Amino acid sequence: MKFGVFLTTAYYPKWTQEEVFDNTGVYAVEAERLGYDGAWLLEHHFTRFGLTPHPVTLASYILGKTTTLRVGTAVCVLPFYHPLQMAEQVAMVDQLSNGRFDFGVGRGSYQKDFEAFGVDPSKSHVIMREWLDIIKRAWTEDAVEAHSELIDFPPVPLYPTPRVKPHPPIYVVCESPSSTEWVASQGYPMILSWWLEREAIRAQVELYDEVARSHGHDPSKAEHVLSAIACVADSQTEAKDQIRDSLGWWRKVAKEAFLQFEQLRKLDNYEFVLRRWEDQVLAGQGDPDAGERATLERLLDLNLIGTPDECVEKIQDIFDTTGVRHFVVGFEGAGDRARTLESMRRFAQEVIPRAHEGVGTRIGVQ
Amino acid sequence: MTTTESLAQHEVLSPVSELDRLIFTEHGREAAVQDDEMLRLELVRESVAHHLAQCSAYARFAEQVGFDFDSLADPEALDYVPQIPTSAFKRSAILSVPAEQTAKRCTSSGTQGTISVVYRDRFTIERLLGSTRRGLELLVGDWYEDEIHVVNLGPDQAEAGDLWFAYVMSLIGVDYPTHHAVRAGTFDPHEALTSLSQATVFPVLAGAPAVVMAVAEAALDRGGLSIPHLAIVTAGGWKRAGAQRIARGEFNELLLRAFDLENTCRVRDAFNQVELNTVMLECEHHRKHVPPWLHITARSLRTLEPLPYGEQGLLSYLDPSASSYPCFILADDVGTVRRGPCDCGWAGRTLEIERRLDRAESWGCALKMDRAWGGSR
Amino acid sequence: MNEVATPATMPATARRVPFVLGGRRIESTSGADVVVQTPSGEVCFPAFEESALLEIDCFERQMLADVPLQEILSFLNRVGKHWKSEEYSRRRIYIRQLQELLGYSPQAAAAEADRIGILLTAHARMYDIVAAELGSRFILDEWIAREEAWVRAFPRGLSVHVLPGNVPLSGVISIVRALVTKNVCIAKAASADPITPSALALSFLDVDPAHPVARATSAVYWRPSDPAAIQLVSQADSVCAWGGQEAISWARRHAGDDVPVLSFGPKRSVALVGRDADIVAAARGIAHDVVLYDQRACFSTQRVFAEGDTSRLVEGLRDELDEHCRLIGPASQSDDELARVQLARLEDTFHGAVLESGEHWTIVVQRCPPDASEHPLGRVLYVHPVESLKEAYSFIGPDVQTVSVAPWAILSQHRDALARCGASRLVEPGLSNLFRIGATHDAVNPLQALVRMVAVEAPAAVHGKGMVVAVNQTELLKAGNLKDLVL
Repeated sequence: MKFGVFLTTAYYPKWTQEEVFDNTGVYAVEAERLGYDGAWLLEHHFTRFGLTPHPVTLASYILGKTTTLRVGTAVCVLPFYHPLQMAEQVAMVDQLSNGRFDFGVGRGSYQKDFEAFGVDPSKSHVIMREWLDIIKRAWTEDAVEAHSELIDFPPVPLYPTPRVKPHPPIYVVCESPSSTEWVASQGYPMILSWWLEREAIRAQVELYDEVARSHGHDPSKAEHVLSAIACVADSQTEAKDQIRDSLGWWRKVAKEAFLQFEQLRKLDNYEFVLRRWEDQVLAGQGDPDAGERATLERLLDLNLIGTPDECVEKIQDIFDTTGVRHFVVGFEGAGDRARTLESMRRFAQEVIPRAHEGVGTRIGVQ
Repeated sequence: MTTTESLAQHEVLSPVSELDRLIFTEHGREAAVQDDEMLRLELVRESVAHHLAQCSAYARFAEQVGFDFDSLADPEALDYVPQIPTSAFKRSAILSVPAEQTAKRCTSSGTQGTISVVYRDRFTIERLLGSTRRGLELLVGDWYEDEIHVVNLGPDQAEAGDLWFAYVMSLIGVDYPTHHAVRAGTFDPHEALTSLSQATVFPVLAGAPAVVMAVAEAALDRGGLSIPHLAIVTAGGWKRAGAQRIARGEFNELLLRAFDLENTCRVRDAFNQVELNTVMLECEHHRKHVPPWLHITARSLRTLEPLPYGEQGLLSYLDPSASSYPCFILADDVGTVRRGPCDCGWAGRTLEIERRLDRAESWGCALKMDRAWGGSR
Repeated sequence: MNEVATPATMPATARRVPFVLGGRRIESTSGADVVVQTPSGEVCFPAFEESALLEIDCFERQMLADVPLQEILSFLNRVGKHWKSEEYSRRRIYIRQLQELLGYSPQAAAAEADRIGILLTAHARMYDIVAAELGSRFILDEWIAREEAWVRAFPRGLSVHVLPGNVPLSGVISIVRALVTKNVCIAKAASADPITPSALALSFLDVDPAHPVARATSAVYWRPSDPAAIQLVSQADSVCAWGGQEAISWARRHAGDDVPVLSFGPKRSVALVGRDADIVAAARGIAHDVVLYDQRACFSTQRVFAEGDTSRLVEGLRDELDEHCRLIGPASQSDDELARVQLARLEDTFHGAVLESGEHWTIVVQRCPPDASEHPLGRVLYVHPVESLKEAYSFIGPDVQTVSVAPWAILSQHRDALARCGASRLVEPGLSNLFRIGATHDAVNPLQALVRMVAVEAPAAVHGKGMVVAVNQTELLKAGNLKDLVL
């Protein structure tokens, strides 16, 4: 199994921006010291949800502060970049870090981002797929060119090229079946969401497996990543209490920044998101606030929040249900540096070893 | 008047027909070595002409499917003689003779649902019997009839009635001393064993595989009954006893143990169905040899186009030995026709039946057999 | 955006289908898997053993009794909205599996997923169905006044459903009936459709595994000889069996003596077309009813009895069958099935029928139908010209479920006779698969078998209808006026 940490750079109300970035550095170093496999960075613009508009920049910083820790992006939002610039930046940071970079990508889902950068959200999936193709070709071919409705440039050689050959590992964030099927057809591993029921994740993995096989890929080789929120305490109540408010705040900020309902209704390529919102309202019996409260409580149950024993059990349950073995865990919801670090340490020392052992036994049985 | 003149005044009787010569007088082995395709073509042509003339339903059918009799000029053309699906015999009487000329109403067992009814006249029955004798030649060789004692695990002719399988089995009693082990509908395997054990000549046990198995198991209950030279003829398939069905190899092993057989060479299966007028028996190498007058085509399940020898398909027959009905049939069995020499000495064609065609089922509406219910293993 | 996979691109490996027991997915653990042959593939279930039975024994059989019906329907609606969305992984997997394992065409598979979604979101109609079959939409939640009593429908408890393999939606209907009547449902998949019950149960878990409806739903598979299965059925409070005679006999044999066994056995269906029918509309409706489920459903039209000259009807059917085969592609046919269709065609030709065939359909025109139980399926429609539709009566018996009649106006002339012949459903062509609110299913109201109707009867102070004094039997006896009591 692998365990990474999320470095969200969430700009909580009680923190300054300086504190956010200072904490990030501290968490990264501590993560390496505690033996976490990696740190994963988010990309956000124009919102307190996260202060990292350019995760590759932050990745460079963290890779510079560490020596063994892998750093990945979850995700770089490809439609907001020129693909060749993205290819250059990633190749460079891969070179500088001696191949410790994981390239996670996505298509974006925040309203203002599309508006400010002038990107048509109805094409976000098409752009992402085409950009990723260009980036891969830029890394692996002597020269790359593109001539499509979306982009046009003559053949150019890319410098630098990545240190890792043929290229750094690529991950794609996936929620909808359409995305899942595309990702599976390409053989990329998925970054899976922390807000889905286990069975829904299982269904997504099953769909992936089928489509991957039908395209000649071995799905057992795809190392999917599951994002999760974590908080370790002496009781589940204490853990939930520590994290509830900040998680609620984070969700509220995300919802304000997200593609709004009026926009989603017009976007076929975000139908999955629309349906999830609708379901949440229905779960709240028509009262959005009640629905949000119910959803929040359910998220606290689903994620790795509780005593070490409870966290271990949940990890094993996730593995049993979904087969996923790579977790990226966010601890910052604990609210302050000390509690976040405490949670990270307890997780690393009291949860991870036992999770390894439990899953190892299962793998042996399987 | 000279002898020659007197002879000229007499009507010369027609010689025995080629078909009857093959069925009744030719030694099977020699004829099979030839397996004369042209002769078969001629026999089938004659039969087709007869049935086109005598069976209006068949004539109409042939016209409807665009059959041109004159095209039946070479052996390859045999594959295009119109054939009637055997299910048609469930729906109506198909006759090439006036009804009063029929000697026997022959019915199937109805395991697939409704029963087939085939009307045979005396000639047709006699030829069937002839084919049975030819088949038994493979088993009993040069034995005289009184050297053989048959235990038929079925009723006698009178009790068999119209039920075809039972009737055909009972016909063994026409040629050979036979003990019929079913009386008034009752069958006792132990009584059959007693009859076998008392046989002082070459014993032959004949019956459906499920019933033969019952007798073998009864023998084993007694600790076995040693009759090393016993010959066993199975016929009729497992039918309603499908749940008891075992593989051929396992079945042979059971018989070996039950009767202390020297080997399984004398365990032979026979094939026939009510719509077909020829019985085929296995040789000692367990191959069903096809007599020279019978044309068999395996057809593609998807297109019904004829397949070459050696390929598995839907079996269809052209049997000129039937005169009271057009025995040109498409059966429900899937199998293979092969051609070539056999180690038993018979050359020619052999028939291998693989399985029955799956029934068309509306799965919520399977009236008779519910495979969807018991489809697991 | 919506890539519908075709069987050609799918791997031919046996697929594992889990059990779902009370809201939990159960994979095979003992290694004693049961391999089931489907129409075009193989699936692997866990064995139904003692351990599953013990788990079911622990289910609280009345766990839904106090859950308001609206809560149950609300949950089903949430699930149904997922099923209706093309961006739902479980739906996409299900569609792929229908094609891979059951040979469905892509259009037919997507349509079936749509129908499941439509059913689950039909909450308004479900209230009406409850009202129609049980007397009031509130009767599952409250005591309803009815004449001199108050009546309430209580769940029977543990409801075992042996599901059919020919119409996936029927399996869902059976499960939903159990849940709507607040029973705990154990659904046994058919080998001809091993995927639908577990797909439905897993979709409940996708939404909320802790919801009472999710916990009240189990999807399993067993062989008829499995001792644990026999024991389960013997302990059930109600049984619903679909399928062939063997499945139904098995259920009846093993169910408890006092336990209601609701059965939906083998049926066939026909259409009647009168002389004055709108031929275009009739042909369209009949073509729809023929292609749906490739005639495998009990309600699938297999034969048409048509008054007078059938040439116009056949012409219309030709066009409409072409169109409907384009809209709903046929299921893949095995070699044997194709052979059967061809043999049936030849047999009909032999008996003087006139045949027409398209790429995926056959029309056989012949005067007198043979043994009406034999039918090769595969979108083969028999058209029997008759002088009067009354000639069709002798071919309609209790094994006929649906008779579609055109024009609608003549139905009143035939309905009594058709009902007496044994038909249980009379519809307009084109609607054979839609069971209207208020209609029956094989001549019964299914929900009634799934509940206990308990009555609280009015006290003595309430005058009985027909009486003008309180019901005091002792006084009546004393006065010698017992015959004044109105019963």
